[in-house]
Amino acid sequence: MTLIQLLKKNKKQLTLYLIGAFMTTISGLFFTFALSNAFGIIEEVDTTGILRRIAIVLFFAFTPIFTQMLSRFLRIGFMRDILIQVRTLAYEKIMTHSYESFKKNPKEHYMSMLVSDINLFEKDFFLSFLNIIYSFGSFILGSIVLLFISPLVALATLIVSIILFTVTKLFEPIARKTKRQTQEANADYNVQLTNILNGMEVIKLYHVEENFKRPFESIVITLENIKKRAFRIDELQSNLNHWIAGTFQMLVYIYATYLYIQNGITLTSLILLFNLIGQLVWSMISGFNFINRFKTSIDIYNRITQTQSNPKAVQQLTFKEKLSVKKLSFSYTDKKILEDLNFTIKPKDKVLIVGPSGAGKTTLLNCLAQNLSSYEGEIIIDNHELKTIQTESFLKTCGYIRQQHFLFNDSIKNNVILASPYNKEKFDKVMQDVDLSDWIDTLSTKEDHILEQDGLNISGGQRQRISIARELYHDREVLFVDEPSASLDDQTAQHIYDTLLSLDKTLICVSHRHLDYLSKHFDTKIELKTLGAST
Amino acid sequence: MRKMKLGHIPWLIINTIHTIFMVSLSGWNIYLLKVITDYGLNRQMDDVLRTAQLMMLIMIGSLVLDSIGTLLKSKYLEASLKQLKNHYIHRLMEQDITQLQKDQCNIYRSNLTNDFDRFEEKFLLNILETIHMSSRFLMAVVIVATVSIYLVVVAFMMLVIFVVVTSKTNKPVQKSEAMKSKSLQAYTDFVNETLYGFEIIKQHQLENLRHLSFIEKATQVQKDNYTVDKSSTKVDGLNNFIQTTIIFTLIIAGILFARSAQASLGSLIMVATSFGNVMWPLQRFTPVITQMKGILKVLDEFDKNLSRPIIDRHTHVNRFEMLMFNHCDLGYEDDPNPILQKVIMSVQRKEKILIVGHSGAGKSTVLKTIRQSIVPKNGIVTLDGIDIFDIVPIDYYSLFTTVDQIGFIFNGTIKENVTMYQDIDEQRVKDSLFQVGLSTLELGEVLRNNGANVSGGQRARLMLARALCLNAEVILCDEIFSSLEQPIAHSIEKDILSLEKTIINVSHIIFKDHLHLYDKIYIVEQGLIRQTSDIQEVWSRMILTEA
Repeated sequence: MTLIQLLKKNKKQLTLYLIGAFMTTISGLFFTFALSNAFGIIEEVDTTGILRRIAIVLFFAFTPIFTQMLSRFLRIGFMRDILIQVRTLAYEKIMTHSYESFKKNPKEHYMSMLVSDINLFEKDFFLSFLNIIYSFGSFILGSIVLLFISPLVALATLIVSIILFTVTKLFEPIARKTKRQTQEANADYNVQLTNILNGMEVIKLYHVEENFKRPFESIVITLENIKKRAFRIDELQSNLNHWIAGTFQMLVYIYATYLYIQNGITLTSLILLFNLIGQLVWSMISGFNFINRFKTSIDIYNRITQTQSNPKAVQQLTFKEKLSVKKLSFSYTDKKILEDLNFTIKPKDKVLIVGPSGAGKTTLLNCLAQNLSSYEGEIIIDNHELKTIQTESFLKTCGYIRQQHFLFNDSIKNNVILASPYNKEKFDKVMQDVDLSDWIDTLSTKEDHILEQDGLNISGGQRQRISIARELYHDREVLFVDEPSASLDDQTAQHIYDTLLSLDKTLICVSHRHLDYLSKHFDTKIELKTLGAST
Repeated sequence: MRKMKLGHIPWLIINTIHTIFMVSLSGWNIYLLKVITDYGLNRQMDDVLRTAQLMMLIMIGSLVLDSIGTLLKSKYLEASLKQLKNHYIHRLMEQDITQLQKDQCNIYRSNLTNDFDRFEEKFLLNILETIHMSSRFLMAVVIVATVSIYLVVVAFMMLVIFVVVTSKTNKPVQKSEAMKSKSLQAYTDFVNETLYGFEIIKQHQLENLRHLSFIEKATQVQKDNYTVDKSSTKVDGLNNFIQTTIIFTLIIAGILFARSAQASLGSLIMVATSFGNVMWPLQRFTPVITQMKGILKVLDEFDKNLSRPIIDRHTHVNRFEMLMFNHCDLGYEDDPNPILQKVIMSVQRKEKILIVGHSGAGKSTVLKTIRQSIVPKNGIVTLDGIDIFDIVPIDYYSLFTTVDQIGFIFNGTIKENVTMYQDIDEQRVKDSLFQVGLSTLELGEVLRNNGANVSGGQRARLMLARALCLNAEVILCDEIFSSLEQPIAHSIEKDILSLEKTIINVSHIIFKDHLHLYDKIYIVEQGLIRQTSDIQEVWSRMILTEA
């Protein structure tokens, strides 16, 4: 959704916002009126005249306070609604990534999109939007007043405005560039933080705090340096504009004094002229400054919310006949991992993938499980290339027990059943299959025991078994399994292998342990070798 | 942190001096405005032109000074943030190891990103603005004083009333700022969980469910923000009202005074202009102060997050003779039931210890206790007769090095990951990589994103190479064989057992032909730990493993 579409979607709130924003434009003008009327007191001769003037001054001075409050109340609702939607759009963009494209960037990259970039947008977009309306609104109102006093000065003001506009334009490309650099530096900073924060305990244990402070410090230096540059460019532009405006105001005043000497204008006009010029030029400047900020905030919006549409795969998955792999190769950037693999898997086959570490066992599994699509060669399931099969339909048939176990900050039960309905019998059976029943019985809240922070309060083996239980509960036709016994003792491992092998499913499993035992029980064995290495 | 709130003081002072200088220059210009007006009123054309020339010169001078000002300002921000961020990390690094819980990680991150950004925006920049505004205010006071001293008294009264008003009205804003901080935290946690669980969420098509919770979290953030906006609007309105009352009372009084005292029109314009210049800053004054006070809560949060119990440990040790568990109950702080009861165990210098048991039996609990990640619930652990919680932390930690199943791989080269940035001879690094079977890796190869480009087995071996390379007395091995192939695990165990070090190996994978190389073997089961010398007993529990 583009920003314009988003604004259109929120028409009602937008209208209120615009009304609120336009309300602010009168405040500057009212202030000038209040001031010039205060000077008018000098020209009054009697007390009633003075009192009348004071009443006028008070009216012009106090009205803006109330209009400003009203204006703000009209605006903040719109800000809230828009930001909720922008956050949601940015989140949706991340979630539309496939496994493969998600992996292309570190997690910190996504994190900063959803946190610091949105903060930046929040800060810049509304502030600049409001100020643009305020500035140009009061410029137009002020110019109309100015035309009545001195058309020549009005014309000069227009020319100065054009000069200011040109200066702003000249700065635009470099301002945008430094903003972008700042964002990139922020992302790098985030990566470094992850390092230090995740490894804090290890860093302490090895007593290398100083060594980790150094790279952190150098990244802080880089970040702050880039921020400094961006700040300087911003300031330089605003200084230049201020100077042009200030000089112009002076010149107008000198000119007005000259006019006065020549009896061209009255004293009151002189004062009004001076104040009005000030107001006009300053609002012009802030208006131009905010145009750049407005544009960069729109850039941010586009970057965090705009998605490229991926071609949609349409085929439904059926796995009745066979899965055949032909001439399959895979490389990560310059490193070849898999080369020219050929094999066939039939439904209900039990397939074991073995090989030394680094040989590409997990990579092969990821290719088969539709997690990697940039392979060469073919993977064909019942006459359809894997890449053309719809992800949803693939996931309904295939489950995947990964090597990295992830647990939600939720109960054991919810971590296993996820979004599926709860069936106690099935759940208990699964927990028995993974040898977790005894442990659950010792917990005071049983299966409602909450796992905190990605399962920090349980052991590695328990984590692994909960992940396995999750896939068993979901009962898919084809099960991909990556090192199911890595953190388990042999007794438990054997029990789990027995369970997996007893399922009436297709099983494709990677392991490097218990090979003698497993070789006896699996139908097919695929052996991978390390490419280009002497081992 | 709160003590450092002003940032880099020397640069702040330089900025202040510069600001005062700048403001004086513009004050001079305003004075010339009076002069030129009075000349104009007396119709002295030559003097008008002469003054106009001087005014132009000052304008050009101020452009140069402004540019210098920009450099100084940016220098101040840079220096302050460097100082503050580095100080934060420094304090974080000083934390006691028992305080470094993983769940704090997101709080630290949010402090170092979001909160520092807010601090820069709402505090540091505002300090500079406050200085600028105050200088302009003072300049206005001086200018007014040249006309009448009574006006100055009134001006000071204004200032006093401002201070009183601002200190009273920002309470509700402070409160809602804190609330916003909390909901931002919940939001950040949720996003983090989603990013880490991306695969599982995709695989089980939980997107819709997560989407709903996300909207809920995002809505809460914006709702709290809305509350902040609402309360600050009211506060601003009230403050504005008071200010406008004061300012216009002053202006009208000034004009009435000028009228009766027959002051020159030039002076009057000078007073009005200087007040016109102060007007806008003064209107900003209250919201700025409000903002600054609100954001100071963030620094208090920092201090809270970085605070730590005073650790009163004085005993120094420099060698390792014997570590003893004397009838200890071991377990986690938030769980009243101990995982292991009445642990009796001893480890002597250069001994090779094996601890075996089923997954979840509590093997890692023993290691966590040794590493002081958890405190015994009952009883004490002693090192050469000294309670380990009495020993100066740094002395104690430097005795141990850990190899575990999670492992910390950071973004850096293989070499840096092995040496942990310590000054270690390249040959030694190569040797240890060779020892763990990683000789094919280039020392300069860069690891990214917590080791995404190394396989599970390579990762474990890197951890081990690190331990071999670093000179600690005791190597704690926490399930290091679980992601290694049998032959490599076998040869690594052999290498470890031949080292001149104390080894404590916690494992569920054992090799029969190595069992006799261990000095002691402990079995963990049913909440108890016991020593056994019966290799056959140990072996009989392990049905599957063959060497």
